[in-house]
Amino acid sequence: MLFFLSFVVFLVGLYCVMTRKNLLKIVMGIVIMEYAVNFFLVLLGYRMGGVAPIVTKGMENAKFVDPLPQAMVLTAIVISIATLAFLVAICVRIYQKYNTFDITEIRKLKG
Amino acid sequence: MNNLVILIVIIPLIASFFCLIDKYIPHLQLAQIVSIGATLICMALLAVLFPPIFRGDVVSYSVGGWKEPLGISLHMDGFAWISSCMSMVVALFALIFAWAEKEHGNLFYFVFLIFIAGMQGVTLTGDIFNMFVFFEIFSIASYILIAYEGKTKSILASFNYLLISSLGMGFFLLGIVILYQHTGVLSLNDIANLMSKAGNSDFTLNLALICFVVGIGIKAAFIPLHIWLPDAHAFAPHPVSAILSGIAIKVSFLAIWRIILLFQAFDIEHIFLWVGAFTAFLGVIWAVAQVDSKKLLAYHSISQIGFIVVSFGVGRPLALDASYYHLLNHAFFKSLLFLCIGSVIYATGQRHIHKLGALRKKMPTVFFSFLVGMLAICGIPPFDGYASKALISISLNKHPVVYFFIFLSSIITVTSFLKLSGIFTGKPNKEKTSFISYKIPAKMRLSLVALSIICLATGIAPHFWIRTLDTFVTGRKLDIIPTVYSLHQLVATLLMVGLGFALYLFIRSSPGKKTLRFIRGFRLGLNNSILLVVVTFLIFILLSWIVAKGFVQF
Repeated sequence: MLFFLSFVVFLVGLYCVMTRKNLLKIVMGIVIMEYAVNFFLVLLGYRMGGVAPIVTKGMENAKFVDPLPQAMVLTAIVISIATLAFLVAICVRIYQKYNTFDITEIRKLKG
Repeated sequence: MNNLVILIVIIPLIASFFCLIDKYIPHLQLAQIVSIGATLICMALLAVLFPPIFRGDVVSYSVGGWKEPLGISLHMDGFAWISSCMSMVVALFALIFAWAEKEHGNLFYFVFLIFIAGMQGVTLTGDIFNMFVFFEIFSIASYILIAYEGKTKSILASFNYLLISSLGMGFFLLGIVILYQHTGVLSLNDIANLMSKAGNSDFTLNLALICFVVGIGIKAAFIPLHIWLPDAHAFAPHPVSAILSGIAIKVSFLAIWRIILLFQAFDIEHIFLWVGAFTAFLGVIWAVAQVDSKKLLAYHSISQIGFIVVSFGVGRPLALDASYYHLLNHAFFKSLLFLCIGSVIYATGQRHIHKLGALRKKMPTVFFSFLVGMLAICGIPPFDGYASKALISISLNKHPVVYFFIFLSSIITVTSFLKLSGIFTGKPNKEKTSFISYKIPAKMRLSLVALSIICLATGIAPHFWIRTLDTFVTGRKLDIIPTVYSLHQLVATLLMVGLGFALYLFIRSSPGKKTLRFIRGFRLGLNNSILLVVVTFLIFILLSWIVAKGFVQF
């Protein structure tokens, strides 16, 4: 069920990227898509009724969730934040030059 | 010996730190010296690694001492070694060129070195998630480098590239997720082993591979995924254009190459045969229509990637060698051409083809280097392009339709370079341009001449080079090497030049100019290009399903 939800979120992001004309909305669409993939990744590592994978005394045989996808998601989130910061910075520069966020307007002005 | 492998990634990163402190030590040019020094040290390390690699060994390094299924390993085999050498050589001359331009601050060199480190990492890593991280490192560095000059066009180009490429990286991550769910490991070799045990006609594996092909393919820029490339390569600073066209797209394509051959996904490999044919043909048609000199070269990068992809799609050892040979040659002559046009723009401040002319007498060094690059890309003997193009045609002997497309693209390549050479031979320009001077700095001249010599050196004695590549790339599988200088190939070259010249006369006429203007007006917006990426993904899934079910035999 939750797998299906992450797929729906991915499609929402994709739709947003493909149809919006506003630069910031396109950026949001990209972010939603990345988060959907991250969500999917965390979900894969989850075991029903599992606990955090910290091995202490008396806990050796407990049911752990898979830690590797979580580590991967952390890395992916850090990277996507760096990309997002750069994207927004570029958006601001474009706004300063053209005074608009609309990509069709920008294409017209660019000539 | 094993520690040297990781040093190749780490030394540019350490050097990039010294570029940052350059600001506090004026007049020393620390950033420039350190960055060139770092590339030279890396080349020395590669030279030390040469003997074991030549014997066919694989030098591996496990990061943090954890062995493969748990930790991350870097593998240096012949394939990675030669790719690494190629990127270092081109990066060195691009850096020397950037130094001569004197327009870039220390931050430029900082980002440039991170870019180099990222590409080395992609080439060397043996872990799929680590490959993702290195891809992001070099992509973020390349976005910054493209937008570095701060002009509006370059910022917009960087924005387009960033959006399309983040979408691609999303697909790439999805592919990693699918593979991890299926096998539970992330190291490439282990995944391949587990997959071959499970049998590889699995739909899930195919889905993951297509995620990789589309995700990385956006950086490798074959045709449905090429939309970001012309703007990004044309409006970047000149040394950055050279390194983007020369190496960045190659490194991405080599990652696809490694993944596909490792997972033995021959169905997908055969799709590349047709993708490559269309890439070569459509790319060159757009190229000939351009009036911006750097944009023309950028479209040529797409077209030449088509040549490489076609030969990769054939899949036999000879074809793989031919593909790699062309890839290597293209890295050298395309960066040479970008640097030549870069120095013309540096001297004259003008990039429109029809507004430049008669520079042959004023800039003889640039003219001769351009001539070398032009003859190489058109495939005229004795330059390197001839040998690799002839090998590609030999390897295509069972696919006549694809060969026809490739031959057509070679003809139009000749035409478009006759058009571009108008800036050296044509009539002098009447308009006044705000030129600095026609003299270019000695360092610029050094990098142009050195790259021309490399172009000539890799073209002379093609047998020696094919034998060497056979050792490194496919592991000594070739028994006989076909003769490159056969009568058949030479006649084909002569025919190609003749037809190219005839086509050049056509595009000078008024109906020809009208056609070109029509082609030039055909461009896609951002929304549509993202839609195209998604559609490509679906088409690839459909194609691989059709091929896997055996409905179509290639």
